[in-house]
Amino acid sequence: MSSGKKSIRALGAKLLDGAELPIRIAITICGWSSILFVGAIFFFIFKEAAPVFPHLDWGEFFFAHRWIPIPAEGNEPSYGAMGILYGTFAITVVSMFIAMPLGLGAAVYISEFAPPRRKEWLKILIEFLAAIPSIIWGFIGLVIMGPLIQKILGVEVGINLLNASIMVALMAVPLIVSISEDALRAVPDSYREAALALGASKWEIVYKVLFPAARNGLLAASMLGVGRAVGETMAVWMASGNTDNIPENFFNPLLVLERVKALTATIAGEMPDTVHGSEHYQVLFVIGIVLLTISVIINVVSDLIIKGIRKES
Amino acid sequence: MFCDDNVTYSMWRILTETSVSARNSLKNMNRKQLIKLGAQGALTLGLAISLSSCGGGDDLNAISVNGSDTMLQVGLAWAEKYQQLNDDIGLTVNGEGSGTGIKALINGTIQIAHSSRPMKDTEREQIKAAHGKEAVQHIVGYDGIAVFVHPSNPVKSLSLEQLHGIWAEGGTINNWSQVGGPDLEINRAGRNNASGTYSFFQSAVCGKGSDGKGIEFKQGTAAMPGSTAVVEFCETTPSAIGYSGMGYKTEKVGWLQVSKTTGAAGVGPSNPTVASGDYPIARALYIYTVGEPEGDVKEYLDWIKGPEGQAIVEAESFVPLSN
Repeated sequence: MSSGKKSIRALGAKLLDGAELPIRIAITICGWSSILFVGAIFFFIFKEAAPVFPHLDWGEFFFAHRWIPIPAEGNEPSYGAMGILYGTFAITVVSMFIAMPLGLGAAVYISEFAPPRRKEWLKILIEFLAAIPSIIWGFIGLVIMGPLIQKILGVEVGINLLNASIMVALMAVPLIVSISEDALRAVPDSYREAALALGASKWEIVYKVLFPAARNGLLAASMLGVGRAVGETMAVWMASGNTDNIPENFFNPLLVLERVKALTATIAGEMPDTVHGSEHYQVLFVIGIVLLTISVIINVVSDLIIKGIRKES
Repeated sequence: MFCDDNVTYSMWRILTETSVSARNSLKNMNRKQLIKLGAQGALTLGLAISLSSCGGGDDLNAISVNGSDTMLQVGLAWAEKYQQLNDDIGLTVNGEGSGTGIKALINGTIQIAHSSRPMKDTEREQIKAAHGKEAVQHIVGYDGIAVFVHPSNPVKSLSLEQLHGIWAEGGTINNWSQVGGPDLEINRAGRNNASGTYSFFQSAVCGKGSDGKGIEFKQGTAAMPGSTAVVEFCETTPSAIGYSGMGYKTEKVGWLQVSKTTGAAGVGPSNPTVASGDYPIARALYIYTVGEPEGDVKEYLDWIKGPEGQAIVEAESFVPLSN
């Protein structure tokens, strides 16, 4: 029986030898296709937005708080997206304030404190969290979290910045946990042993040895979390209240109870009703370019950080 | 490769439309709506396929319809019934918005445009320039825009002037106590700025300034994902005010009577008050064709204006032509 297996294996190897060239070509095409896709996405988004470039008032777009793409009769449209840019920025910042401690804490617990069996269970559960579709998160925000915020905080409107940020944070946590956990696990055990030998407590090991050693990985994890928060659409659209607001006082913590409008939700909400090829349609693609630029910057930066880790280790 | 880049756009529309219908029907799903959802999917798919073939199959009896999303449900109901009665007619109905429908009529890709607002002069000129014929307007029903509030709100009636103060840019009413309600800041919920309901409510309530130009809505008005979401917001938020078609009224939401001048008796949105013009925030449902309709299109429009078509208008919570 075993000789039969061997001959099959030999036959397979022979076939593979013959197939090496086509396989190599196929794999090369696969590798290049992703570059092609990225290029094509950039090309098409720029192509749709390009006609509006020459006459879009860029100062207004970035620094005016007045988004009226379809004006009342007799008025000129205005594309002041500052309120929407603020909305995306605010959701990102607030959600990271929630997600970072939560994600980092979970990663430390899983990699350093949890017994092996529990570690496995927790990892499976966290992966499951990552698999929940964003529309479900939005639905939870609208139907469960909204009334909960109304009741607990005694506020008028439950769909607001806080609600959207909690939803986005819960979506970003699995990403932050798994990358942070990888980074912590990559720290050589000899570091831990050395610290123990010097009489460090477990907690001292975590924040005096592991955090500095895994610094880059933790940073990369948070960057990718930020990317998730910037790009999230459905949950943000449903849970944020979708209202173009800029608070008067940025240092008043109650601003988390204001409703906001995000870049992604603006595209999702307005694109279905715009006239294909109109100026409004093109400006929505400009918003697309802004989002794309942000995510490219985030990805490049986190890539450079991760490369930094490889060099060090 | 693509003879019409509408193809990709339509594919994308299928995804978004289906998700919108799915969301709307989450709340009160019943068999009728399920069937309609299926019909809508099928008809949209039909359009996508007919576009994909890029005019390859020129069916003589095919009529394409596009336009107002407010009129999508009634349009689908008309098409469904009419095709049962006339199996030699193929109708594809889509609801990408009034503006998109009129644009498609200008481009000649459809024969019938649904619109929940009257055609603008610039659009009429474009029709004339493209086809050499005038656009012809047909009124096929009416729709009242109801103003919704929380059921516990003691305010039961407002005048157009007071609504102007609440909604229009520069208006001074920001707290319910200013109109006899509780001391709560008013939370306004509307639709997104490309919807026909948005622009109609804007022209009816915000009106025009002394310079003859339209007045915008106040900053900080929520753009809800749909009419159902507006009603839901008003059901759960004590300080809310919102607007959408009167067909979206539920038992759990409060609604306002509206009067033309402050002090006059308010009128509630109902079939008789909308058709008679007594309810101030009402609009007509329009169908536009290029030139006077002929042949199959004329027969279809006559049927819509006739008793069977009007029965469907009423069944879809709009107001039929004659009561």
